[in-house]
Amino acid sequence: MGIKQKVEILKALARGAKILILDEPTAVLAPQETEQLFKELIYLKEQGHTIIFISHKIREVKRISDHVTVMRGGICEGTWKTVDKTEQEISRKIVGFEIDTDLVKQDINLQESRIQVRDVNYHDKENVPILKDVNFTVKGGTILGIAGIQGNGQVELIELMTKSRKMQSGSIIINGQDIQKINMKQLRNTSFGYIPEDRLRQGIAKDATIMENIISNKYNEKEYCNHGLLLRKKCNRFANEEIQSYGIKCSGTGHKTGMLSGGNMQKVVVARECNAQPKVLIAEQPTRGVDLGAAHIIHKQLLKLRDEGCAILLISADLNEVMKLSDAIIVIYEGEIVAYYPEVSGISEARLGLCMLGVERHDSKTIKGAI
Amino acid sequence: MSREKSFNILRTVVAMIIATLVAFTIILLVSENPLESIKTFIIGPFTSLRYLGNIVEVAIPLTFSGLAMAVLFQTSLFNLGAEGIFFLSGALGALVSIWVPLPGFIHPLFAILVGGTAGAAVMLIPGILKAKFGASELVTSLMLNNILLGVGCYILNNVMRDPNVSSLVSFKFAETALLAKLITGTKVHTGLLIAIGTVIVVYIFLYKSKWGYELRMTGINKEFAEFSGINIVKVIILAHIVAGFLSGMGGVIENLGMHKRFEWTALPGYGFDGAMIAMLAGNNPIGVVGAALFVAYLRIGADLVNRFSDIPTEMISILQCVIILLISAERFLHKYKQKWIEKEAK
Repeated sequence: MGIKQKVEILKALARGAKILILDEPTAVLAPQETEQLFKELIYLKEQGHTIIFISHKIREVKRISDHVTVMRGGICEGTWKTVDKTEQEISRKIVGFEIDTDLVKQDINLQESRIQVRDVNYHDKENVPILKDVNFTVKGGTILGIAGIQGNGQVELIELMTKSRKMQSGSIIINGQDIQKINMKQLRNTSFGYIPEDRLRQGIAKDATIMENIISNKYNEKEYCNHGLLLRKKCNRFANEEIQSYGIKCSGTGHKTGMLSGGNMQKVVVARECNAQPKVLIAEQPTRGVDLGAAHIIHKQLLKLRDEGCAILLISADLNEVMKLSDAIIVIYEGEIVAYYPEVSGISEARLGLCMLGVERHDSKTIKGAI
Repeated sequence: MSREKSFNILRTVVAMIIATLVAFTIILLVSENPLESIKTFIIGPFTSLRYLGNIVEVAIPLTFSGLAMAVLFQTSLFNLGAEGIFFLSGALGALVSIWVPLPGFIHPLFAILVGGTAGAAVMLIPGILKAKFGASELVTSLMLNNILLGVGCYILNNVMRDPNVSSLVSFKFAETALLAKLITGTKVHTGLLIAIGTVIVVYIFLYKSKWGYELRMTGINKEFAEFSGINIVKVIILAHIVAGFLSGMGGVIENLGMHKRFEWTALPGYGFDGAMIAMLAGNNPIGVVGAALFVAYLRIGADLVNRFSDIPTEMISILQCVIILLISAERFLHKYKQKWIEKEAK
């Protein structure tokens, strides 16, 4: 992804673009790469290019822009000189209300191991190794963050864990079940939740209503289904509660999910996955392309699940998010775990970035701590 | 009703109007007395009870094939095997009607059951090939149609051909097997009641049952369904079984309701019509009734024009093509769709 991004920018420049529109260009970059991109952008600006930089990351906007325009719900909230506004002021404009950016985190309530990944190796068709000896454990009541630049094996790891790829060696045990021996339905029945990276592909059925999307992991339960017939009233009532509590903007439970904005679609996915009281949750880029308000709701929900004893594996390209939510972090580089931080406090973003780029790595004893 | 839904209905109506206008244009060009022809085409079918009855008679088998296709399309399966199943199940139903001695009422029901079961069994072939091996159901079902035609013709020729009649037809069906006429003066038969009942059952199946839910979710987004723990293989096979059963029923009912002997010697075309009807109906079982009646109305209109004026009945095929073209063209009126839906948001 990072390389694709660079190619896109180069392509635009090579064609002699005078105006560059960058939509979330740093979402997939490591801090060092972002830094490099910014240097180039500033250079381009000085050369007389006009650059429109669209981002959810206020710090970056603050750093790179001369003027800032805030859009919320399709309405322009105003344009200011960047130097005139503080980060807090800008974020207030974006959200429309004050958000406590410091989420309250309760003490860890450690429980038994819920996800055990052991000696997982994976190579693609050309025999190129994608994952090398991946080992880690996630206990109930904790969030393990996986940091890493995209394309370093995270996608494959998750696809192995969600059974959309065949295992080659090693084992993955979720809720005490070897996932190779059970099917998706059985895996779901172990109280397993999954917030996929690509919500359009795996997360929702676009042409189905919100209600139909929200009940997809419980339509089989007695409460919602009697003798094979769906209990429409109960389903709708449940969907309505979710719409209310997540603040999903829609005309009702019958609204086509595909007509929602990205953020609201993601809320549908999160509402569904979190309300089945999962014991294990894999959250893959849970807030990508989601507005700040929605991201905040999603973060709060993840922490609530953690406090209730859920084991959460969080994969995100947004380092901030990983650091904010996780209890421990592993860094993955070229399919290998290169660093393990048992505690998040005191990690410097720069050091983490160096690990993500493969410049630095922890010794194997520290990495074994992840097991 | 959501704005998007009402738009889709509007779009279908516009497509029908355009198709009808095309028909007028053709009539204008071909006919010596265009006004009279158009009048016959439009009003003709309503001028007598017999013609009205004709519309219903034609609509009954179309409803069954439309329902079968709707179930398949909702699951995103493009299977056209209903065509061959109509033929084969019709032949098997005929066998039962000729030789299995049963009292009235039970006799046709048994024949329909046999036809339906045979249809479901036959549909399992493309169904399992698709679910287990990913074989394109379009290709396998189309090839299957020819095989079924061959099998049906074999049965007709070698098992139940009536040697006392010069044309290639079967022995007469037993009186007990025939579907009773509902309205005197027309050929409308009890198959109509079965059709209405089936529409309701299929509607409940698709929209109210968990199996229908699984089926529709699979159709909308297969990967999503898979991640929700839905067993795709089972869903694909189930959709095929249901569609096969529906087509089989249609084949038998058409024969026992409209004919005294099994007379088909070529594929009857109902399967392909079903695809058009399901499309017109937006794959909704209730809509299938309306679409089937509309297509039947066009057919009867064309038939009358053919009989009473100088326009050939082939014109109706052109009409149908135009309708399918416009309905299946995703982007037809697309520009207005956005505007129409946005209005709601305001």
